[in-house]
Parts: sequence; C-alpha cells; structure tokens
Amino acid sequence: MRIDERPLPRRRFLGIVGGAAGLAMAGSLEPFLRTGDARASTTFPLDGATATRILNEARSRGAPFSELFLETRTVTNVSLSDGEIESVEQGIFAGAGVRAVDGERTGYAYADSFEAEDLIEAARNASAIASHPVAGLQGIIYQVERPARRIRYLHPFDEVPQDERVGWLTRIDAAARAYDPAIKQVTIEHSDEMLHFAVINSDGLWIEDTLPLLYTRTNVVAEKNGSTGTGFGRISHRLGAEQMDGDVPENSGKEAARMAMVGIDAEPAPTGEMPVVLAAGGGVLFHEAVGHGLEGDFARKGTSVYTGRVGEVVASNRVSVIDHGGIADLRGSFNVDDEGTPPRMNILIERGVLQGFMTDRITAQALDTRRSGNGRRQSYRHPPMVRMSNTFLYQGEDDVEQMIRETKNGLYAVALGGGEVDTTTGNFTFGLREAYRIEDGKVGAPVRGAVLVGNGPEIMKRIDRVGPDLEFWVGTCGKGQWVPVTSGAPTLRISSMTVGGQDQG
Amino acid sequence: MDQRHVLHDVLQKLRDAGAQGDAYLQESRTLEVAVREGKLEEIQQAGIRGLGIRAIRDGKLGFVHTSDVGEEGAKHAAEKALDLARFATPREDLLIPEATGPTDGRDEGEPLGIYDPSIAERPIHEKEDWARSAESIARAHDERITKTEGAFYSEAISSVWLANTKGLFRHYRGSQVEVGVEVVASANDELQIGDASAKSRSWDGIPPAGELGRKAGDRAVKLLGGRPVPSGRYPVVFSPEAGWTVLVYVANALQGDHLSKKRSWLSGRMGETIGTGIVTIRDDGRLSGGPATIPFDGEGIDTRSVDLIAGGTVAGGLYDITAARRSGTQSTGSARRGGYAGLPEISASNLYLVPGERPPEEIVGDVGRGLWVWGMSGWWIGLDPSNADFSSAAFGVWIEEGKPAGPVARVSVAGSIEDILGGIDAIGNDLTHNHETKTPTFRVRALSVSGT
Repeated sequence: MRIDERPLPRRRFLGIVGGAAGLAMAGSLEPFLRTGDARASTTFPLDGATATRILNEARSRGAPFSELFLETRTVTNVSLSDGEIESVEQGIFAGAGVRAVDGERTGYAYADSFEAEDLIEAARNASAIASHPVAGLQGIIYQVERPARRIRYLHPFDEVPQDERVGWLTRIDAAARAYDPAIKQVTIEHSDEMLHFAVINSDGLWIEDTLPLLYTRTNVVAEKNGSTGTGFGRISHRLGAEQMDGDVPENSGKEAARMAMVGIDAEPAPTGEMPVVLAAGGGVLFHEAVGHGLEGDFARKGTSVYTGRVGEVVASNRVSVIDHGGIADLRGSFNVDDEGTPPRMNILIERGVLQGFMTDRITAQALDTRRSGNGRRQSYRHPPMVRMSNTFLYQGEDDVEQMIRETKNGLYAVALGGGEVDTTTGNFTFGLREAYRIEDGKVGAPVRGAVLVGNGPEIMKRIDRVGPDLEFWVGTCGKGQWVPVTSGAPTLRISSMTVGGQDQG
Repeated sequence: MDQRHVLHDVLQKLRDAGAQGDAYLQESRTLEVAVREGKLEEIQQAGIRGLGIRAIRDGKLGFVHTSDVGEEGAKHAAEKALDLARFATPREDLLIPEATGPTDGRDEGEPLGIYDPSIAERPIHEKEDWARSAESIARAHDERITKTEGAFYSEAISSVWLANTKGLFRHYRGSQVEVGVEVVASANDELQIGDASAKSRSWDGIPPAGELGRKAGDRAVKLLGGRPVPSGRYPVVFSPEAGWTVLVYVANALQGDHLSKKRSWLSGRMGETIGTGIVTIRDDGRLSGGPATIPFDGEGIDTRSVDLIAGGTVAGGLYDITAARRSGTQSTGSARRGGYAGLPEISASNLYLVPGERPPEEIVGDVGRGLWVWGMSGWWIGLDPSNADFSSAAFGVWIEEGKPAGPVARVSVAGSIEDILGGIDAIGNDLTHNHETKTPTFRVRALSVSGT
C-alpha cells in the first residue's frame, strides 16, 4: 500500500508525504530568482478558431469565463528492490480539460483527447454550471505568451536512455548497502516526467510551457541484534537529469542508511508537553500549521481559522512565512501556474502579522485581491485550486547550538515524516523520522515512534528561536489532488508542544 | 470500439516477440456535483479510457500505459513495453496465470451486486437534490452550525477487460457512488468541522440525505471546543470513523510481498496469537455489493475471502501470484490495480473487523474514565511493515462514568498493534460496509494517550 496513492477521504485530504531535501538556501532570495533561456516548446494540434469554438461553447449558457488546459505528460518509473530492477514503466497522459466559471461556480469536464469534437462535448458539459441568458459571444483575440523562465534545465528526461536510470538506482542501492553490514533492505522508487501544457482562456491568454520533474525515494531498513531502524532519502528538483550528476545518488543512499542506523538504537519517544527544537528543513510543520489555513479557498468559505484576521498578530515576531512558486530548481516551482498566472513572492506572515492569503482566479475575485500565482492542478483531469508551492519560514539570527544548550529537557527533531491538518480547527499532526531527546541542554539518545500534535495558531506564537540555516523539504501535498511542493524552515525552537510517544516514563 | 479486438492485437504483438503478458483496458465515466450554501457550486464530468500492458520477456517486466487505445496506439504501446522489459532484472517468479473463469467476455460484475445501471439513468437534478438536502439538514441541525464546506455527490461507472497471452479474457462492469457532507460549528471564536460520507454500488444503497446530514451536524457540535486531556494510560473506545485505521496497519503487515521478503513484523508468525479471542479480521474481495468488490484481480485471479486474524490468531495473508509462489501458497486474488495506469499491487479489498453483539452505547457505558475516539489524524504517517508501532493524533469525546463528558482534541494515541489487538475486550454490532475498510465500535482496555 502506497500512501501517496491511497485515495484519501474527501475531508481528511490535507496530508503531505515526502522527505528531506538537502538544499540549503543562502541569505538572500536573489540567487534563486534568475530567469533564463526560452527552451522551444512544441505546440498542441489546435488552432485559434477551434480554441474559440471550445471556449465559446463552455460559455454558451452564461458563464462569463472559460478556459482550456491541454497537457501531454510522459512519465517513466523504475523500481528497485533487493538489488533487482523490478520493472521499467512508461506512460503518456494526453488530454485536455475545459472549465467554465460563473462567479464562485465551476463546471469542469475533460477528455483524453485533443480532437475538436471531444473537447466541444467537454465544453458543453462544463457549460451546464451556468444558466443565464447569453448575448452573442464574440471571437477571441489571443495574446500568445511565453512565460518568463525561472526554471532552467539542461537534460530533458525524454532524452535520457533507460540504462542511465537503472544506473542511478543501482548506485544508490550500492552506496546504502556499503554504509554498514546491518543494512538489510533497500527499496527505491524512481519517477521522472516531462510535462508540456498550455493554458488558453476566454480573456485571450494563450501560454505554453514545458517542465521536468524527478522524484527518487529510497527506503532503507537496518537490522542488528533484533532491533530494526528505517531511513529514507529523497531526490527531487524541478530540473532535468543533471540533478543526478556527480555523487548525488550515492549521497542519497548514504543518508538513508545513516538514518536507518540511528533508528536501530532508538528508544520509545517520550510523552507529553515539552520544548521542541526543530532542525533545519522542518518546514512541513508550517505547511500544515499555517500554510493550508492561508489557502484562500478556505477563507472564501469562512472555514479557515485565519478568516478575517489580516493585520492581526498570528505568530511570534520572529516568524515570517513566505510562499513563492518561482524559486529556480525547487520541486514546488513553475514558470507559470496552471491558470496562466506568473508565480511571485507572497509574504503571508511578516514578523508575526498576517498579510494575506494565497489565491487562484476564483478566490482572488471572491476575496477582492490579486491572483498570487497559486492556482494549481494535478493534471488536465482536475480543475485548478489554491495550492501552496514552496512555502517557508524565513530565517532568523539565533544561534543553533545555543538554542539546544538553552533547552533543559525536550526533543530535537531532525527529520520529519508526513503531516496532516484540519484547516478549520488548525489542529495538526506530523510524524518524526529521526529525533533525539534533549537532556540538560545536550542532544541525547535517539527516539522512535512518535507524532507531534498541536494547534497551528498556538504553535506559531510559541516559536521563540529562529536560526539562520534555511533548508527545504520535498513533498507531495494532497488536497483531493496531489501536487509537488517544498516547505522550508531554518532550525527553530517551539517553547512547548505535545509529543505523542509510547513512553509514559 | 471492439475491446476484444484491441486486446487480441496487443497480445499477438507480445506472442510474436516470444513474450508473455497481459493487457488491461478500462473505460469509465465520472460525474461529481458539489453544492454549497444551497447552491450548485461545481459540476465535473469526464470519460476516461486507457490501456495498460505488461510485457514479460525472459523473466523481465516492462509496463506501458496509454490513453490512445486505437489500433496504432495500442500496437505502439505493446512494442514500447517489450522494449522497456530489456532493462529489468530477470525474475523466475514473474508469472502470467493460466486462463480461468469465463472467456466469453460476459459481465461478471452484476452477479456480485457491484453494477447498477439505473445510476447513470437518474437525472443530474436528483443527484444535486441529495447534496442540497444533506447540506440543508446538517445546517439546520443546531444553531451553532454557522458555516459550510458543502455537500457532494459523485459517481463512477466503469468497465474493465483483462486478457493475457494464455487465453484469459474477462470483463466486469461496476458502479460506485460516494456522497458526503461537511459543515462547521462555531462558538467562542472556535470552529469545528463535522463530516459524514458513504459509498454505495447501487442507487438504492445511498443513505438518506437526512441520515448523513444529521450525523455531520452532530459531530461538528459535539466536537466543538475540544481540548487535550492529561497524559496517561486509559481505556480507549474506537468508533467506526476511527477504528479502520488499525486494520490498515494489520493488512499492511500481512501483505504477501512483505511477508515473503521478511519485511513484516508478522513474518514467520502464522498461527501465533496476537489478539483476544473475539478478534477476527477479514478481507472479503467478493462481499456482495461491497465497495471494493471485484470478480477477479489485476492478474485475472478470482477474488475471495481471507481471514487475516481468526479468533486472535494470525491466520492468513494477502497474496498475488509472485508472493504466493515465494511463500509456497496460493494467490488470494489480492493483486489490485488502481486503474489502467498502474501495475497490479497487493492490497486489501473489503477489509473489516467481524462484528460482535454489543450495542456501542453499552461499550462506552462500561468505561469509568477513558477516551472515545471519533477520528484520527496523521494515522498513516508511521505506517511501516517492519514494525508494529501505531501512533496517531486523535479527537473525540472524554468518558466519565460511562457518559460523554466533553470534547477532546490534540491528543495522540500510541501503542503497538499487538497492544491494541491484544487489548480488545468489546466489539460492537454496528458494522456497515459503506467504505472499503471498516470496523464496528470496539474497545481497547488501556492505551497510551498523550495530551497535557
């Protein structure tokens, strides 16, 4: 059973799965905001006149706005288990979705096809959301745009031979096994894709882009003297095959093995409320604790805990939270969102004060604000919704070693597992993959089998130290649809939160 | 489109190359209607058609999926699958089964109660009406219910054909409806969601809008203002909305691939007692009208009923052909495909804790002080077959002297699966098969609860 493919119940969908990415971020955002060359993109088999027929069909019952999203995505998967390449898989998703929008109402239909008649039928189905009288629909004049390039890649995956992929996996496997004789199992799942898409809408926007993505997940089990430990490694950037250059595969295998070895010696985690020092890369906490609550769709419905609180103090003054879909190389990045809006830096919380919400087209209109570049979708089979991209807590100036020294007894959380939040109450939980006790200001024994439980708005006020060492964590966020994200944070301390372990000590 | 013809061409391509394999063709139509604040907010409709091809040559597996199922597209996909197989490691245990079951392409779904043609014939407004009515009843349930996430109706009508190079050709149709409603109660600046949902294979099996509406409203109001309780070991009652998460852990540990590769904490422990005598956990792939019922699995093997835990004893596992061969046993028909784009993977079907005879109120009424869990959050984070640890955030209601004594939130419940199954001292009579994985209400004598 793979969690990231299990259909989630509709309500409890705000989970995130994934792992740590060792990507450090320098003191300034500037180096990450470069724009670059325009790689030529192919075009879909669709002309302007046909696009207009489809878009007008979608508006034929009175929806004032319509949109066509075309996509071809070639996905290659390779899995390794017990040193064997279990299978090599490839698939192509090709099709188009048509959306009709009438205020806050959406009609959506799609076809696994680019044939005009199929898309007109989809448009007719989508149009049914509205029922107003329609004046004569005019032709649409398209402004064909290419997005400003924030993501530059060298080696597209459609040019990568299969044996190169097999080579990456066998190198990860070998590095993990060589780490220690106690490493008993290594399983690796690799997926890469080339996505080509176009957004065409009734306002005349016609924008196309091509994006690469890779995700390689290594799980390692170590066993010694009857005790087991598990570790994982993840590689994922919005880059081409060059992200596997050098010793990247080996390092990922070693890291997973190191974590598994730590797990062998882990004791049951402590139970109850205590201070928690979260090592750099623990951004999933903020993804869950505040990120989802700041997605504008919940605010539009009034069901977010942060509804109507812009301008209020919602976190300690050490806390600034940013979402930015345009940071080069990061897994959650894009040149243009899935509604055709360019990404930008959105400061959600600045020095503790709530600044605003992330939006897509519908929520920006409903909340009377601008589009933040957070309209994303899993594929052409899904309408866009408000989603995070790269969400991070901005770094501070507190010294990391001192932070631990000043903590008498508590928990040092080095690597987090997935998490989940209820955006209405703000209550969240996330898992610990690697954690240690802090005893008398020193990092002590490793612990296992615990979750951290808390309330987003409360936790944000209890952040009393923020370090200078921002790092990003890669994941896949589920909200009825799955999208790639990162979440970032520097090392920080939460003065008190609930650790749920088995040790009643 | 002639499905038999498409599949035949693909398989011929594989045979011509000296390979074995199978081809899985899926056609689905989906509809989703969402209502919020009494108004239609979203309609989604789609037709999906796709083909997945497994090619095995010299024991090496290649897989290709495509939504282009025309003659050329299918042939091209078959060639690609053969090519990809070159890069896999040869395995002796990768087998395509001999043909079983009917080969005339008849629908094997309707006899199992999983296909109701009347669903597609119902007009959209009846489906919208269900959602509107559920939302309105939920909102009217209590004056503290002030906001709404809305209600939805969704349906999928699917047809599946599976054929292999050994002459297998099987087909079924299935229908699935899911309905749900979510409303928000508020008081003193606090918000609380209350939700309810259900699945049904037939139109008549859809629960009345009022039933789910009242349930969602009731949950929102009763959970409003939840607080952590002091940490300690307490009796814990799991409601059906929470207890199913424990079964996911059990089934994961009893997956044949984990067992045969010694990756599971239950490897080599068949016949051992880990639960109390009243605990029987069953996976029934043929349960009539069950939400996960299908006649044959993703490899073409008949589905069946398997007791994973019988009277507290580890009794069986979930196997596909490969894992069964490694373990010296038979496939249990548990190789399930998530759709045409995925390989068959071992997975549970209709997984449930066999019900007892006690009404849930009585099980709660016996508890002096304890936690009644109404829902779990993040329960899946620690899911790992190599160890038995279970820990999850939980919310629900505190029990004092057998009576509900206020809402609880932000606590965690932790223990090993053996602690949980070995501590079950009461099982309720309230099992319903409205989701794939279900339990009735059950009680564990004592578990570690972390709060303040």
